[in-house]
Amino acid sequence: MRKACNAVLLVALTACSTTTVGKPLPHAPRAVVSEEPERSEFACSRAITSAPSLSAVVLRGTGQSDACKFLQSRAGALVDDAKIEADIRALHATGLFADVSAVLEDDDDAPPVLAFEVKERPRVGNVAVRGAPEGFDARAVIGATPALCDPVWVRTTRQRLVQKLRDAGYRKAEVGRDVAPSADQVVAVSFTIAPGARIVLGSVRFEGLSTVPAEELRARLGLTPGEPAPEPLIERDTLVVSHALYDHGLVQAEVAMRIEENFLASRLDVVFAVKEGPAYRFGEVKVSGSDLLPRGRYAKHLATLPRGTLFVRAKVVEVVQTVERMHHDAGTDRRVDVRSNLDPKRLTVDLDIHVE
Amino acid sequence: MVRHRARWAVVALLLGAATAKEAEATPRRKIVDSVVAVVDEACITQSELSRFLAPHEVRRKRELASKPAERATASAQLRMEGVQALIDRRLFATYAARMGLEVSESEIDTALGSVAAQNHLTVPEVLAAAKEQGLDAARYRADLLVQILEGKIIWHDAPRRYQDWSALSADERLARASRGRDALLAELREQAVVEIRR
Repeated sequence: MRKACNAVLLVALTACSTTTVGKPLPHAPRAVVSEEPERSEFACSRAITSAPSLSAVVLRGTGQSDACKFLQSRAGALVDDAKIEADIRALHATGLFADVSAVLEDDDDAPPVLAFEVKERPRVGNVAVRGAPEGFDARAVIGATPALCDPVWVRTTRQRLVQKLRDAGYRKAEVGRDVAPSADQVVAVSFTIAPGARIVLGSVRFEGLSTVPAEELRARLGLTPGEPAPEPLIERDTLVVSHALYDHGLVQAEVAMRIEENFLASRLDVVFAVKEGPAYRFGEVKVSGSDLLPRGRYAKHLATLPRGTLFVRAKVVEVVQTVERMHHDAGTDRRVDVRSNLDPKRLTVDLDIHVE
Repeated sequence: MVRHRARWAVVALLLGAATAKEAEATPRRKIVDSVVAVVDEACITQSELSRFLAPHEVRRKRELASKPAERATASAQLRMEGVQALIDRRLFATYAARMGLEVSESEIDTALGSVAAQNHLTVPEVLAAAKEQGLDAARYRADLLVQILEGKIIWHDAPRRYQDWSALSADERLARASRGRDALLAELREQAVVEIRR
């Protein structure tokens, strides 16, 4: 008898908890108890426990109640792992918090609470710069001080300072960074610069040139003696030299750049070592592709690349741009590609101006 | 003396009762997700790590079924490797985006076809074999995407890294590309803010 009573009580409780989540029992409780009492441990109650609805979603560890707007998890809804993960990412992406975790709290008497526990980033109280060389505006490089201390900001600022110092000729510059607490939830950020000597460009030399006059190449360079020689400018000028050689038919030319540093004299020399290779001439030049304009419209432009004359890259670029413009004007915008075929025996370059 | 003892016993009882009541009132706490690592502005979550490790866990459990003592050590090791692998994926993905490198669905289809052909299987058979390893079709395709993208990154980066690239034979390029991958990864790790949390 006592057993039967307990069974009734258990089923009644199960039914109550089911009602709270708005799902009716598939069978009436009495029928379950009287006919198949073993079923009282089955079905609804377990399903409810594994996917309970939330009584509250809270944010803990911050006064930033605004951050609630980033959350997809809602009280009254079922626990949804995908939404919780998205919420963690969203809270982290605000940049306000150094750490985020999601905790599910429950006890036997109440539906669970989903708590997002966050650790706020400290505020930046002060940004100090030490050791900047004269004439170098470190403050302008650092820019506005962020309200919160973000390690990414600290690192990228340091990288920016190093880059700008090197661009200004301090090729061996080093920048240290430090983030130290200065008060509760406030940090002081400091960057310490060790600039080293300022190195400027002494000269630009060319090795291995026989076809192209060095002065012609020099006139195209951005590097200037007496000024700093930042790496990006050296790389750019290496490309400029290659392209200039292409304009003399030297399509297989190789350009190796090296830097000769003389730290005692605070100067460096840039050397472009060139392997010219043979000079190529224009071979067959044609236009291909679908949806072409009448052939005659291309002919006069292709005639600027006559077979047997010295290959000039700049002329090819000009023809490509002209063909693109022709299609644009005709209302049929097309991408124009150049497919080239080198013939090392005849030293010619066949070109297929391909309209896509 | 006896009275003192009795008093302490009462205090202890009261304290015990209070602690018990407190324990009763404290809800059960379960961390359902958290940030396990940060790569610049992006975070890697515990659930992302669990999804990534799931197929490896299946294999590990199978392999160490009879060695329960080794299982815990292997699990911790696997977790560390998983976190590092996800960090590296994130670094490569960011680099690829910066370089404008992408992988199309058709490239994944082609790679899937190649895997099938190399193993004398059909594509559905490859997917079935992957599923046995705990990788469903979506996850397997995502893994292929990562591999293809990594390949593109390495071949994109190598000519910049090795000045004599154009003069190298195919075998030499392959060897250099492999070394180049490690070098690039070291650079990307150095340039990024990477934090492993828990």
